[in-house]
Parts: sequence; C-alpha cells; structure tokens
Amino acid sequence: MALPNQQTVDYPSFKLVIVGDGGTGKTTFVKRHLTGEFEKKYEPTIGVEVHPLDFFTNCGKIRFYCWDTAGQEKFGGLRDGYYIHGQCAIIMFDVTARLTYKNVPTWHRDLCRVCENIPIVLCGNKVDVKNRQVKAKQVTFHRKKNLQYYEISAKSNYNFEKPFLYLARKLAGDPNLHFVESPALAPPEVQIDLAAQQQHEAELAAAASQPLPDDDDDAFE
Amino acid sequence: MGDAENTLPPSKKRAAGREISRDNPGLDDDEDSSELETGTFKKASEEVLAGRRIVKVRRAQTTSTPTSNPFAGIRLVPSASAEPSVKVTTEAVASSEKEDAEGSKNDACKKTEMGENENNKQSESKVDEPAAETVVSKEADEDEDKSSKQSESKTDEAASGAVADKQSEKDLEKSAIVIEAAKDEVDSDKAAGVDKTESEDKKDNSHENADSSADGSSLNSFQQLSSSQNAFTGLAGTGFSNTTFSFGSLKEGSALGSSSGSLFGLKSDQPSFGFGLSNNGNSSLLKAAGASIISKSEGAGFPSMQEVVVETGEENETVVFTADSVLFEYLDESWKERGKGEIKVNISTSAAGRARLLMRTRGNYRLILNASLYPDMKLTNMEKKGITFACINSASEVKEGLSTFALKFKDGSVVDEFRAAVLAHKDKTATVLKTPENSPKASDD
Repeated sequence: MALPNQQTVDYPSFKLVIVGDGGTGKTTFVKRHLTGEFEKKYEPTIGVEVHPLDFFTNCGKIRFYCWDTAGQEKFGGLRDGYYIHGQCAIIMFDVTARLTYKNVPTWHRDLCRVCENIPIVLCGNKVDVKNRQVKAKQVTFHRKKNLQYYEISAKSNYNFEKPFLYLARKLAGDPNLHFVESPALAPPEVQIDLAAQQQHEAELAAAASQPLPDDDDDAFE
Repeated sequence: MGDAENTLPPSKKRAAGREISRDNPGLDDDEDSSELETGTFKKASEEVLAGRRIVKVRRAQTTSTPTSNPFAGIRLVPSASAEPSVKVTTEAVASSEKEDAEGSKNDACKKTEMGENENNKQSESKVDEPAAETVVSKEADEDEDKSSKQSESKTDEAASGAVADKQSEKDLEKSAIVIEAAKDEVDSDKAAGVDKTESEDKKDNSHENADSSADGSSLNSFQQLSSSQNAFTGLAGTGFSNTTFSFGSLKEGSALGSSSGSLFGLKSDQPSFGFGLSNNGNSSLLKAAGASIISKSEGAGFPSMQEVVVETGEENETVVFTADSVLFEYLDESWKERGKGEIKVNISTSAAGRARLLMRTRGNYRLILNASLYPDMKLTNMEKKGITFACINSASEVKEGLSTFALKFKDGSVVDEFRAAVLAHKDKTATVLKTPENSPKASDD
C-alpha cells in the first residue's frame, strides 16, 4: 500500500514487505531491480525504505510497493508496524550465514501475526558464493509453512525475478501470468548538436579510460 | 454472564471463553480462535450446557431491548409474504452467512488490534452460541433441518459455479423476507426464539462452510462473504442479538472487500484496494488453512485480471544486431551497472532510416536502454571486451541529455559486430536528420 504522500497508479498495486536478517541482501536485491546496480557496499537500512517497482505482465502492468525493512534489530524502527496491510512478502536469508536461516521462523511468525494468509516467498540469497553454509537440501522451512522457496543471487541475477513472478501470479490468481517486455516507444528525436557533444567529450574520454567493473564475468554463462 | 460462569465447575473450555471475552480482549492467537469456530462447540458437555442456559436468557434480554427501534426504521422496505417457518429458515441462512463475514472481520480486527470493543462483544456472543444451540436444538429440529438443507443447497450452488449475481439476487430476496419476519415478530420472546435458532444455524453453517472450503471451493466462500453484504444489510437494523455493533463494521468490511474485487478490474485507486485485499485474505484463513485454498481464494479476490494485448513498441522495426551484454552507465565518475540482457540495434521499417539501441534486462524485461542513433555518434573500444558511447537514453527518467554508456560483450568479435552494426545505421539516420537540423520543428515526425 502506498504511503499517504505517494502517487497512486491506475493499475493494480500491492504492498510487498521484505524482511530478513541484516546483511542478507534485501536492499541490494531491491536496488538490483530498481536500477540494475549491484551494490557491494553494506549500509544497513534504517527503519524502512519504500520503492515502487513496476512489472509488465501479459495481464497488464502491476506495481509492487517494496517495503524494504531494516534487518538489523537496532535499526528496526516500527518493525511489525511496517507489515500492516502487507499483501505479499519476501523473507530473505543468506545461504552463506546459517544464523540468518535459523531466524527465518521468527520473521515468518512476526509477519503472519500482522498479515494473515498472504503469499510469501522465502529467498535464499547469495547462491553464487562457492562455499555455502546452508545447502539447498537443508532448507525445509517453506514446506512446513507452505511458502515458495527460491534460491537467488542478487549478484548474478540468478532467479532474481522469480519471487516477483510468483507473487504476481498469486495476487492475480493466474498461474499462467508471465512477465513481458516492457514497451519501448520510439525515443523522441532530439537533436544532438556538436556543441553538446563536445561538452560531453571530456566525460566520454574519462569514462573510456576507466575500466569496466570485472566482477560480472559470469554474466555470459 | 460472569456470575453464571463462576458458579460452574471449572472446565477448560469455559476458562478459555472467559479469557477471550473479558480479561484478554485482544487475544491474538488465531489458531485458537479458529478452533473455537469449528471444533469446540460440538463437544459441550451436559453440565456445561446446564450452566449455559442461564447465559441464553441473558442474551434474549439484550436482544429484546434494541429490537423495537430498528424495526421502525426498516418499515420502508417492500415486504414479501412468507410462512413463519420459512422466515426463520431464510433468516438463519442469511445470518449464518453474516456469521462468516463477521467472523472474518473479527479475525481481521484481532490482527490489527483494532475494534477491541467489538471483539469483546463478539467473543461473548460466541460463548453464548453453544448454549443457545443445545437449548433450542430440540425445539428447532424442524428449522434446523430446513435451514441446513437450504444452506447445503446454497453451498452446492456456489460450488457448482453459481454466479455471484444469482446469489446476491437470492440474498436480496431473503433480506426482504427477513425484514418482513422481523416486523411480524415484535414480540420480544418470539424474537429471542428466532435468535436462538439463528445462532444454532450459524453453527451449522459455519461447519458446512469449513467443509466446503476444505473441498477447495473457497471461491464459493468468497462469494458468500461478499453476497452476505446484502443479507446483512437487511439484518443490520433489526437489532438481533448484541452483535449489532459489529454488524455495522462488518458491513464496512465486506463492502470494502467486494468493492475492491471489482475495482481491481476497473483500476482502483490504491488505498481502498489494499484494504480489500487484506480482508479477503483474512476471510479465507477463517475457512481453512492450506496452500491450495489460499491460492484459490486469492484468485477469487482478483477475478478480473485479464490478458491484455502486449506491445513491445518494436512492431515496425527489424532487428539488425542482437547479442548478450551488460550495460553500464557512467555516473559520478564511476561505472554503474544498469543490467544484463540483450542489446539490440533496431531499424524502423516505417520511418525510413530511424535506428535505435534497445536493451531490456533478462528476467524482468525492464527497459534499460532506448536511444536513437545519431550521425556523429562515436564508439570507443575499451578494455575487457567493452565499448563506450554517448547517447540520450529515454528509458531513464533521471538524466536528460547525453549520458555515457558502455556495453560489455562476451568476446571481442561481438564488440566489432556491434560497432559495425551501429556505424552502418547511424549514418542512415543522418539523411533524415539533416533537414531537421536546419529546421528543428520538422523533427516531430
């Protein structure tokens, strides 16, 4: 649900609550979807950050208001207060830190106390890391609680759209719903004159000399 | 009620009832409360029942007080004639539906810890119900049979895919009858009697609902919930039992629920929709917990999400180059990744010569690059199979004017192919652009 001062949209929108221990990658995951960036720096979220995230589906556009909540206890803010009127949720843990998985039941319980019976996805993040602490086989909590489980990697983008797809399907009640290419209208024809280009030369040169990040070498596997 | 209970030999059930109604109004253990709904009532032992008889009397009294008022208000509704027994039955059904909705509302309230008063009253009435049930069970055998039959047929109907229209029509009829019945029975004793059978049937029906939803027909239960709005509207003013107050709020709740359902299709504004959803979710929990049911009832909440024609915006274009790539944008003196996916060079088949770069992320298909080629576009090769250029990206709203982008490809040969494709088509754009360069207004086509 939107914040009072948030613009509303004329297509279906849902409040999505994202919870999980600190450092499991909730903010990075959201940011990855929002901007494409992969944020390596850890800056704990204070309280909550709400980001609208749109998807195009074969049933039209839908929006998730992602309530990216603080994982760290000391920055928790209103905690359960953020869950009110949540319509779907993602519980995130870090497969390289066992404790974050052990805390999943707590997150789930707190969430369900406020939001009964909403579709929830359990996400094991950072599966790109070589030595995991929580193996796929050891993840069983979702079976007991009828959650959907996905192994994801915000770094490699592995399965990174799956949680949203699952939730969209549940919320729409359509198991065949799928994401479609967002429409790309012809870009406006703007004149790029030489002056503007020359102004931009400097940046272009600086950019060209700066090497591209190389931590994405697995992008083409 | 307190006195009656205190004199009783303590049993677990009674204790639980007390806790809910008085000491612990915000009792939020949903599992317990849902058990109360379905299982507990059956087991009432005889000695407990003996005590509950007193409770029943008390309830009858409360009923009688508000009875007179609302009747007067409701006279306006067109009356339909019906046999007394039928009246009771229909009413029972209607009210049992109401019970469902009410229950869910109750639950929702608990969760949000709002409407505590209401909760109090409701849990009170819940405690009362079993008493009424057993006391009346013999007298009301007839009614019970009929009503259970009717409610059964009702569920069947819904399960077999009866349209909500049909049901709401039915309900309208019923509520009219109910009002009629209420009018006739100004006698408070009689009203009390009705009340009892009503609660009896509530019980019955709630069992049935649990069953039917366990069958997976939670769509049906959803319909009942939303259609109960009608039945309930009729009842709201009649002042039956002490739960009148919560009826009012139920009305609000169910109205929200149903309206949100339809609004969804009609593109609702956001906040009301949100409320509706959470209500729906709660109601389905009441019926039964289970993944399949959950998903179905969720579906029932949004029936109108229909397939739409998907347009990519590339309908009149041909793709002259495509390859897997990673897009970076140069911002604040460093490269920021914008996504991984397929970069395409498209040329327009309708507007001759127009060419653009297009890229969407894999997986979520988000548009990350949408930029026209232009004659003076410069491409600079970079280390690590990269290539950089400046363009105006209309896929990002953040920055206007030229931005610097870079693409990283799988290997160097793809970089060269990309460069060749862009160079081949950027100049075609030039022929179009040359005219508007002198007269900018012509660029609109």
